[in-house]
Amino acid sequence: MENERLRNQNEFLRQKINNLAQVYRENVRLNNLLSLKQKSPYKVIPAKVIARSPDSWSSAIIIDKGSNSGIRQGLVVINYLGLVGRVVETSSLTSKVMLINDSNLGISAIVQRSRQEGLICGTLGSSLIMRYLPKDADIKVSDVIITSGLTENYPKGLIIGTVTDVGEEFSGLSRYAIVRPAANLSNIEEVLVIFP
Amino acid sequence: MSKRLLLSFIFICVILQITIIPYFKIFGIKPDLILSSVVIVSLSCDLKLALALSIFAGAFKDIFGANTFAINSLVSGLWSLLVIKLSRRIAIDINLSRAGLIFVIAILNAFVVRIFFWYSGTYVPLGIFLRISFLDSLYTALVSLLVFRVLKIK
Repeated sequence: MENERLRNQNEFLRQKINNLAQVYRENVRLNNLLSLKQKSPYKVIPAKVIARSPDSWSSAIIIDKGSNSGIRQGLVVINYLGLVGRVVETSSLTSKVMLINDSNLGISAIVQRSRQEGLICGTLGSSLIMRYLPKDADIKVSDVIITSGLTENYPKGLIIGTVTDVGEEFSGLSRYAIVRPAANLSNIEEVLVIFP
Repeated sequence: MSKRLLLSFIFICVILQITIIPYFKIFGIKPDLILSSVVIVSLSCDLKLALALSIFAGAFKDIFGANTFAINSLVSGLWSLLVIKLSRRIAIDINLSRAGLIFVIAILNAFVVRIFFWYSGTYVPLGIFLRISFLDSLYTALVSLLVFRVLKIK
């Protein structure tokens, strides 16, 4: 009898610890987001991810803020780690955000160290590819890639990711770089929408 | 299965696909439960109902996906029609053959999506296309075996 009671109590406490750990992790994420919001020079709106794209051919998330909150097509979405994507569709209460690893999205970017310019494209996988780098481009592994500000609505200086590999295009005319996104695109839970 | 049950089944598949399934990604690939549900529904009911439910399932895929054109609503109906026509000619009554059919449909679906991307001006490199189409189809077929077991389809 006593054993049974203690076992139940143990189960209850384990559940409680689990809930507290979840609350703690959420608190850390929200704190990071809040500090980014306070530090950010742009006007931003926080939003929660409520759904993800159903197929492997597109990379998108649905957020819980829509045109009622002032969100419109083309706005840029970030989280506390870096660039996340761009709003492609809005309804009154929700918005669809195309993530940076979607093959439909191209963003003008520069290497933070050398200011070398290129175009970031999605691969529908966990990494991005930076194309149109000249053969003599000054780029190396672990360089940080940021937005150049040349693509409409994307503010300059947003962190996109880090270079993990540099190679030569099949044509031999230019080089490419594989970039690991700063934001973990498969586990985003909260984001900030930037108003230019 | 009754109409209500089939509708609930598709709805559950859609909810799982947009919420939990993305966490089971392998090499950036996730199984397509909605496509599995289209094939299962097509094998379990008459033409009209199967077509309606398949288009309904495809529409959900379009709503939550990033493509602007309703490609999935169109092709889901097409796959449903194909499965019904095929099931009238050959017996697809063991789970392994059903999973094989889902694999073939998923490969065909990938090719249709590729053609659509090509026409809409979206460039998907061949390597990425082959990786996604093959692994996605295989993963979907394997997961569908699990779905058959859960639904107790024999």
